[in-house]
Amino acid sequence: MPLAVAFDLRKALETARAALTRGSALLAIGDWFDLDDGYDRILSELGTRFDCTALIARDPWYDGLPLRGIVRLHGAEGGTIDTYIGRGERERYRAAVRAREATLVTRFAHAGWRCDVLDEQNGEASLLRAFGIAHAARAV
Amino acid sequence: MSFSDPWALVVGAFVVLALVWLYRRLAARASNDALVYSDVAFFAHATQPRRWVPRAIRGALLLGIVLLAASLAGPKMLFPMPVRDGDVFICIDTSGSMQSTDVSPTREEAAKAAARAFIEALPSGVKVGIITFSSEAGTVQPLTADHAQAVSALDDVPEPNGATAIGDALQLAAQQMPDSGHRLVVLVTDGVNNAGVDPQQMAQYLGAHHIPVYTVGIGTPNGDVIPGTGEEASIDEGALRGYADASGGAYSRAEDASQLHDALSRLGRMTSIETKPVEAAFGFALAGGGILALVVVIAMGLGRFP
Repeated sequence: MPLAVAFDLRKALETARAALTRGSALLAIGDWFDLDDGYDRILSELGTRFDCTALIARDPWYDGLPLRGIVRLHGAEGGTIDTYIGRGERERYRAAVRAREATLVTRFAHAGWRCDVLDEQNGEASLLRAFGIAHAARAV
Repeated sequence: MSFSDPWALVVGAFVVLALVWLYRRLAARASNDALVYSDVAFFAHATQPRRWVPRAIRGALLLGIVLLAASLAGPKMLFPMPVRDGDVFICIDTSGSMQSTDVSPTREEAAKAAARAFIEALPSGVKVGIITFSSEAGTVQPLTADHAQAVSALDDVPEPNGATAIGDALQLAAQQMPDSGHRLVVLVTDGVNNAGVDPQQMAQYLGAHHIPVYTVGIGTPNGDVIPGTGEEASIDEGALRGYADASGGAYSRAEDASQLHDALSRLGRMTSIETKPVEAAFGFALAGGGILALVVVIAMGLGRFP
């Protein structure tokens, strides 16, 4: 049984597109797991009409998978996986997470969004970094 | 495979099912404590995990329990075992046609040489006897565990002469066989039964008493003229195959001395092995316990049970 109701990213973006007036500022924060090629069009539309900023909630296991041996994972929005995690799996996961984050940054940039990674301890600094105000972000 | 206490299998099956049910209940409860991840599809894609590992451990766990449960039912498995004892009669045709020289030097001499090889190939504990037959059957060597004596007795095989009483030879072998144990008859002949009791009936009788008859037909396809008679020595392969089939034995054909030697040597080795039901409860329990112990060790090494 899902632990949470599945989030419909497309619907959320379409709602933003319909509700906001041209030139509005849109700040979107998420893990963006669902974001694939199929979203490029709507992202571009939003990027053209609005002042869009995306913050990516970084994978908590970005620096390395802390799991080893036989593990069971529940998906927050459904699904369960029983598997064995060894060194190979940890290495592949680390590479995949980094690649995913890099792909997200590129995808948002191509769509005309500004984008950075969310620092959960310091959201304001994350936002400033996304705006390219690095020195201000350091001060914060 | 058979079981001495088949009802224990039913009990064992219930035990296994109960354990599987309990495992699933506990696993379901444990899953409430499982880690939560944003997107398991991404996790699976990213790690390309070895999902077979927990499955293999679960399978081994189940196998271990099943083996342990099955061991309670007293399993017996059929294994080829070397024969330690037994009784073998070799019946050698000494009818007139055995003088024929199409098998060098004569059919009878080739048969005696092959019989020697057969006796020498038998395990030491097996008793062997020699019966010869022409118009009637006679015992040249009663059953003996002294193989050297049996080989020497081949020198007493009478000169070829007379008719072919195959049934009488089989009857004589049946009369002298013990009531139980690993028993068989090897029949070496070149001819067609033309005297005495019906060999097919005797073969059926022997088969009913679990005494297979291995028949060996000796002679070339064209046969030969029986020296001094002008009669043609023929062979009734269909009948010989029938005697073998009726008794649970096998038929083979030898067209020369070498083939005859090989056929009987092979029979000697073949009859040295018998398939016996062996108690496997200890093996099952050992295998089941070993697998379970291995699963526990592996599961501890991997962090937890799957």
